[in-house]
Amino acid sequence: MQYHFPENFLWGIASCAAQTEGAAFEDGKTASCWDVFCRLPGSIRGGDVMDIACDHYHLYEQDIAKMARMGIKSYRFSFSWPRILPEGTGRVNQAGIDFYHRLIRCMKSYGIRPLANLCHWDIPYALQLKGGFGNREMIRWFGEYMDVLLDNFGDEVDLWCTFNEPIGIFVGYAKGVKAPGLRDEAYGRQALHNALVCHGEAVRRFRERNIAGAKIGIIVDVWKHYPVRPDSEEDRAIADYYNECDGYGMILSPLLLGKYDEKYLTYLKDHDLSLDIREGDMELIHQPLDYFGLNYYNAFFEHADEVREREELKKKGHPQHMKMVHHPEMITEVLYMLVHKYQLKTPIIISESGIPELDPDHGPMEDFLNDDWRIDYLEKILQGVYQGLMAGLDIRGYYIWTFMDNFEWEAGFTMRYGLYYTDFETLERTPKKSAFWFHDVIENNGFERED
Amino acid sequence: MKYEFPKDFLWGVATASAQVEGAAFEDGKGPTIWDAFCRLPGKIRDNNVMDVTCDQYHLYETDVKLMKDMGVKSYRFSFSWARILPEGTGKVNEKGLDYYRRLIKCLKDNGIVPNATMYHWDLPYALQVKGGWGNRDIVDWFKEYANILLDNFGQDIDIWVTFNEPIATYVGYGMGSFAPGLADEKYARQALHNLLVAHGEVVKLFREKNLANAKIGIVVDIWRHYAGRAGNAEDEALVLQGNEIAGYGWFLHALFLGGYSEALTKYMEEKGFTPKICEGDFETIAQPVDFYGLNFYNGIIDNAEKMREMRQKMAEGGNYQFKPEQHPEAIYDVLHMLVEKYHVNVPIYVTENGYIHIDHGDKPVEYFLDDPDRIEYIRDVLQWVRRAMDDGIDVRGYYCWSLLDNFEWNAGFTMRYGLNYTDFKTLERIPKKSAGWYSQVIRENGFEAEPIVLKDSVIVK
Repeated sequence: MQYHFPENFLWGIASCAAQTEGAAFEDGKTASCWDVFCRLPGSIRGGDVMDIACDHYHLYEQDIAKMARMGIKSYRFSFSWPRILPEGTGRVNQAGIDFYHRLIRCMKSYGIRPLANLCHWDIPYALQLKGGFGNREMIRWFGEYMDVLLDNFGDEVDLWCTFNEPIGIFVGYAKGVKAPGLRDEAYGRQALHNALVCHGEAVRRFRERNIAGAKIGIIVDVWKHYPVRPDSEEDRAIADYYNECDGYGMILSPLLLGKYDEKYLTYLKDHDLSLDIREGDMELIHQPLDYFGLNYYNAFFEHADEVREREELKKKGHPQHMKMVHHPEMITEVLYMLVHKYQLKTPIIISESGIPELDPDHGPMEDFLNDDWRIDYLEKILQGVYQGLMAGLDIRGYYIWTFMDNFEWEAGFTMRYGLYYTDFETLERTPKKSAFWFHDVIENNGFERED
Repeated sequence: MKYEFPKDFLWGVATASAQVEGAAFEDGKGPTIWDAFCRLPGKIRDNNVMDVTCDQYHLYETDVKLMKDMGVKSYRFSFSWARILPEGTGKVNEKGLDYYRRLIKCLKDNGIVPNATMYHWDLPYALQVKGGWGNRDIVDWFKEYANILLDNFGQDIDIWVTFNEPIATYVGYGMGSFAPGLADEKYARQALHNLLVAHGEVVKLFREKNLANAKIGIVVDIWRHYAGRAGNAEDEALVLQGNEIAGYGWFLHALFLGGYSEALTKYMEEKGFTPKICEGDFETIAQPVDFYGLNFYNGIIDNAEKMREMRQKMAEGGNYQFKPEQHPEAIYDVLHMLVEKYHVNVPIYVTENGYIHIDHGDKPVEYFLDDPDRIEYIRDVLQWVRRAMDDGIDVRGYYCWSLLDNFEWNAGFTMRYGLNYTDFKTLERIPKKSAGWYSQVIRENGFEAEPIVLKDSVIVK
């Protein structure tokens, strides 16, 4: 069957500053919360740091050239806040501004449209020291950062994004798995609320400028949990918990419906937790967006017995062997949920979609280049997107995570998501089969597939 | 002439957890702000970390024996908050408590009096990412930690110190050269205010525990500044800055006179740095303490003209080696100031005093073992202490910084303060000449020395 996508469909590639740029302490950039977290023993698999990563800071020209050859229409990148404002506020680092000017100009010279993200988790350590997102001052600091970016890039970038996956903040503050490595649930929940207010503040400042043609949105990842036995109260309760109290619902409800979900509020009450929600917060969070970015990777089916077993193993300190069963087809259901449950009326882009290959032992490159399984997965995702389009959903683009293997947060260099293979010693990038596949998809504005 | 000290004078040596313990990621200890700071490029000389340092965590028995052999009567050490509460609050790390139990038992078995500091700069990283001392919740966090210390060690320790040198938190939050590496003066002013409140709250908590014989105090270092040219406006401005705005006066005023000094209050108002002060804070901070701990290293003569010359030479690329003049007589003036200006009417301990040798790896061990200059400086300081005691000032003890060369904060391993030399590769400790000399001073409870002759001191007339 022929899957043909709408004209002007935005085929893109996504990446972010901390995972690719490197030059972590160069040209005036200061440490981000991630630069510090990486350095604390036990935080990152293999003990790796992101000081160099893919060295995109120096090699961006060849990267953009490769993207252009692939036919990429849009490149989603993120600004490094501590590269722009080394102390988080106040003094602007001109060398940082210059880098992003060069990067953006390079993209545009190939006709690649930039999608610029403000915050992909790497806040300046200087602000983390003051409590980071747990400190309400962050709203003012984030607003100032937005202003600096708009002053400098407002006429060069027309697709803006405030946050990528705000849940990453909750995970970093409440579960300690991501930077800054804190395990404080109350603090983490407040930090997430404050981050959403930061989003609202940035949108407000953006609107004040009335920049013709420019659009702003936010990117949220949805890992939806479903009960294995829909008629089992236990299974449903588990799915509800993950969706509403430990997942996307904590973000989508306030963002798109203007209020926290009843299930979440009940959870907070039952656990003696409360959020400091100030007057005007919910309105700020609930401002209209120009588009919504969905990051989709997978869905989970929860069976109470399996969850219990998992918890038991965790308690005993056994390593977690997550059986990864992939559910690319569930993207369609998630898209419907956005429109129905969350009443989303803006255009949607799939702002990330991809699949990793584990490389814990740093095997030879040849093992990673023939990634037919990745192509198969991505095609299935695209089939799901296509189904959404056929049902009338306003989906405007699809971004693959990611251009090249990079520093995958707490997994360090052991998870390869790229269409290009990155040799982290030589920094050479080599196309995988999926890179050629994506080239063809873009060229044909679709693909053909039996099933 | 003979300088003799009272019978019960407490001769001690001092260290701090982060500087000597090592085992930074062992037995459940959580990271501290210093563990994080050390790992950022360019923050520590030679980019050294304090993961092992003197490894006292494993070698404490060796070190206690070293003290015993020297005849040391008291050991001043600090608890590592993150070793006891890896996340700052909540879950207690039994292995951490156990380490300090073993250390204290070993000290007492050898007749050495423990003098324990609750906080010597190594804040748990987990609390710093929530804002650290700038977050008012830290008053409760510190109380929770202190409560655990007092419940576990209250019966074993008679001398308690809440904080060592609060100014370090200003250097870390306001200037960025210490951990956590923040340069935000407004934030620092709030952080220090919260720290002082935390001190007062813990003194109150300590009182509630009614521990027989146990005493509690605070340690403030005094680097008093003096005008090089009396009456010179520029020099006097430097003195005001060094003493009242960003020095000991900030803390001593709040601790002993109540509230912030007029000069500091005015300065903070003008700059917009006035911290948020809750009702009752000043009373809490000014809780009576049982003793005052003085860390004394030097007096500083401010001369704006000379400072400009130095800057000029450095700007021209001159190899200007900054070698400060030594002013041991300043301790005499400082002790008088404590009593006369700040009305300190509790016993005073000199909780730290010492002398450094710089080590850039270009000198042999022998150079450091032969240290007559250290002996001379310590002896001079002790002569001035004795003279102040003759004037009626109640000084009860003297602790030399430090038992052994250790990790000197942002100077890494390049500043050797020890009476014992530490080989940071083999971890061997070798007594310096000064160790033998100090041992003799303790044995004889004093020393023979020529009387002090002062020439043209602007500090003591």
